[in-house]
Parts: sequence; C-alpha cells; structure tokens
Amino acid sequence: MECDKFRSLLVDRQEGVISPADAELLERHLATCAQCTEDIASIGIAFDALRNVEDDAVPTHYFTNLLPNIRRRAEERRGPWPEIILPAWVQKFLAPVSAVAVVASMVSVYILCTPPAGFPSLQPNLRLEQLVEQVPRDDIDQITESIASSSVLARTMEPSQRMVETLSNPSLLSLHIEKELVDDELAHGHSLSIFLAADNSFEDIADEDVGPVIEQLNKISL
Amino acid sequence: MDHRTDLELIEEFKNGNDKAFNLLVLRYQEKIYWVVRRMLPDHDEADDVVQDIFVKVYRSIGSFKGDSSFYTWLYRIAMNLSLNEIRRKKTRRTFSLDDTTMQHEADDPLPLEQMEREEQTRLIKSAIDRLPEKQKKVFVLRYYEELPYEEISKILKTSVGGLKANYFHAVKKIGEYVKNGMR
Repeated sequence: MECDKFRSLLVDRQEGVISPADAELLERHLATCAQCTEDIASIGIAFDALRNVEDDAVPTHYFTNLLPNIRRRAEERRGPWPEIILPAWVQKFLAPVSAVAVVASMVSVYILCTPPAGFPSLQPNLRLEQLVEQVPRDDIDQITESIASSSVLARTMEPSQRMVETLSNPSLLSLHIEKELVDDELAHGHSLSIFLAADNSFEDIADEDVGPVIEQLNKISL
Repeated sequence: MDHRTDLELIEEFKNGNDKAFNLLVLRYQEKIYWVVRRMLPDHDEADDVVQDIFVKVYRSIGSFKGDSSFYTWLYRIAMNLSLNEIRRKKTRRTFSLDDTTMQHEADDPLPLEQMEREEQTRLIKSAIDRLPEKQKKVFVLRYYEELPYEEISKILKTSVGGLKANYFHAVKKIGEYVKNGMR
C-alpha cells in the first residue's frame, strides 16, 4: 500500500526532521490521500497535547535515597551471611563451589528423572512437573493465572502442537516458557518483549517478530 | 564529576571496587527512573522496578561482555522488567475523572485554564497507558528519551523500519484518543 511508505514521513514532518525532497513527495501524496491527511492531523494533535503535559512530581529526596535502598536490597539478596562473618576471599571461594554443587544436583535430578532405555516415556512431563514443584505455590498460581489470559500463547502454540500434546497440563508449558524467558533478560529479552507485547495486541506483531517466539518455543526440550 | 567511562567503572566493579557500582547508579538513576515511570504511571511501582533493575545489574554485571554499550544493556533490562511488572499487574490503569475531581473537591475551584491543562494531561496519560506494549516502549524511548531509531533498534532488537511503524501508530493513536476525548 502506497501510504505505508509515507507513514514515517508523516511523523518526521511533525517532528521537523523531514528533508526538503521528502517533504515535497509527502505534500504531493497528501494532496491526493484523505487517509494520510487525517493521520497527519491526529499526529499533530498528539504532539500539541504532549507538549503541554508536565512531568509528574517525584517525592522529595527520592534520588538521594535510591542508592542506599538499592545497595541494601543487593546486599540482602547476596545471602543470609553478611560479609563480616564470611570474608570476601571465602565468598570468592564459595562461589565456584556452589556453582559446581548446583550443576551436580541438576545432573542428579536429570539422571533420576530420565527413564531407562526402552521405557515408554511420559517422563518429560514428569521432569517439567518436578521443575514446577521447585517453585513456590503462590508463584505458580500467579504465573498460571496471568498466562491463562494470554492470547499469544494460544496462537504461538498452534505451530507447536506436538509439544502441547505431550503435556497433560498446557499451563505447565506456559510456566516453563515463562521461566525460560524471565530467567535471563540478556538472552531472551527480545522474545520476552515480543511475547508480552503480543499478549495485549497480537495484531501489532509483524511476522518477522513472531519467528523468534516460535523459535524460542521450539528450543524448549520437553 | 567522574570522567571514567561506563566500561572502566564496570571493570573496576568486577575487580572488587564496590564504589564503582555506586557511580554507575548515580550516573543513570534519573534516566532509568523516568523511562520506567513513563512505562508505569505510578511512582511506587516505578520505584520497585528501578530498584530491581539496579539489583539485577549488580548481580549480573559479571556476565556483561561489552558487546553492546552498558547504556543499551541497562535500557534493555529496564524495558523488560517494566513489561514484566505491567504483565504481572495485568491491570489497565485508567486515570479516571474521579481522581482529578475528588482531589479538588475540598480545594478552591481551579481556574479554567488549569482545569483544561489537567484534563489534557489526564487524557494523554490515559492514551499512552492504553498503547500496546510494543508501541508504548518505542514511544517512550523515542519521544521522551529522544533516542535515535538506531539506538532503540539495539535496545529492543527490532528493525528501524519496524520501530518507525510502531512509533507512527503510537503517535496516531494518542492523537485520536485525545481528539475523541476532547469532543
């Protein structure tokens, strides 16, 4: 559609960053296009209104107190032992030991949950359920409740029907996906964003964006 | 004013200088607060998320490889955690007329001009709040943060063309909402 080409120019013109050549092209198009004329009027109204909006007030001393609050929370999350009891060098030593312990326990769980060869397997579900059991009940309820109303999940599940069929309870898949995505914004931030954005308005998601979500779904080994 | 770059501060923090983290927080706290505040139109929620963001940075800065700038990485975390919060709450906040009128019931009547300005502010906030999340984050980064599309593209990992389309739709929707609200 020809109007598609002019959309960003409509915004550029209102922001005053359009080149003279583009401005001329746009003017010619506007002279013949009622839709774009209406759109540019709406964009103008938006920018006019936005210019008159004042920022909300921030509580006094908020920024002064923010750093101490962050430090306190960061320290809290470090663990139950304060640095006074465990000197830095001990903590440094404990970190790799803990990591090895975590990996070892994960391997143990995997071995325990992996069915013997030839055993008809519903075990993937079991592993997933065991994963779920590690999560506090309240958290599960909260996540599954929010997932239940997720239209995008239903949509993205369509091409992943095979995976869904392996589950007795699709909400567990949701939880698994949620965990995968939320656990690491660095790796999955894009998919998460799309996932969340799509949740509220699927029609705004371009095909190119749905790809990574489906790719993400397919990566999950059940 | 500290002239060390973000990367220098990150290296220092990784090497055990805890104060380097404080400097990074002080450098970005206001910017990040306002990004989050515009995503979540409530100070208390924004405060929680801002703290979460920096706590996450504190904990995961070791995994920051410097492939993108710290600023891009920080904004990405901010956007993702803000969206998490929106989704968790799952509430479409509306800035109801009641909030404004009740607030002033006990006060003296407001001058007409001020009432109009407040009404317009209410409409705009409501319009932004109703944007689909993808459009909302593009709008916040482009309009309020005045970031170039190329920078937003790195933060949101979306093509510049896609961002421009989202921004167009966001601004248009805001305009339409304001126009209909003022009728």
